[in-house]
Amino acid sequence: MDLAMGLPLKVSTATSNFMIGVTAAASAGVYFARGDIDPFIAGPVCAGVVLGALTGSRFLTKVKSSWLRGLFVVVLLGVAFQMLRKGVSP
Amino acid sequence: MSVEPSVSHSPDTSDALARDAGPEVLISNLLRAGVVVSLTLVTFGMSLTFFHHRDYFSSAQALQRLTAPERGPHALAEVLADAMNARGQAFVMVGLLVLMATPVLRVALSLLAFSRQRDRAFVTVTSVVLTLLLLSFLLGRVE
Repeated sequence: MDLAMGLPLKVSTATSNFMIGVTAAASAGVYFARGDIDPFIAGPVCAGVVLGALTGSRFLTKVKSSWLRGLFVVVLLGVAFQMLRKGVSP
Repeated sequence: MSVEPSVSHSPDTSDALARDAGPEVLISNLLRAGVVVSLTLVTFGMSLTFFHHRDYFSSAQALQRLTAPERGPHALAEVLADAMNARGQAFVMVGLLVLMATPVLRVALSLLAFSRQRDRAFVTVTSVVLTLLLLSFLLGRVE
């Protein structure tokens, strides 16, 4: 959205997060119905994600877009490196 | 929704503006409340579990049992019955269910807002989304 549609970074961040939320809700119900959700793995993750999201959305309006983009690139590089390492040596 | 240009600031337009701001604030409050209620339930459930089973603090083996790959609770009745027996796990699950239901309720609420604004196109799109969401909940269960 940021590159192809030329939306402001913060707008595309909020929009994509919202869409992920709605689509994830559809699959979360299926996982629950099949008993695939372990409360003691999902619970701590939920607490962490909610606290992170609350602080993140509070800071989003104050943080500079360029700084945010840089941070996002660093995080993506970190995740990509981790996945690559796991893929090469399981 | 298009706002008709008005010559004067009649009470009609200010009413329309208030009705416009209404659903947005309502949706924002719903999302916030859903998240806070869910976080509270999850935290309460986790503390309850660790309060009931002190051995989770000291022994790694007991902690392994906590996340053993068994089937999680997967029926609403079962979860509610466990919550009545003050099982911490059930409170965590109820919190997660609240978190899952929040975006669905948000879609339902925006459907209400769009239908009040008589926005035909968005009412259609939103009801399709809501139907698909509810269908996935209904069709998802096995057995």
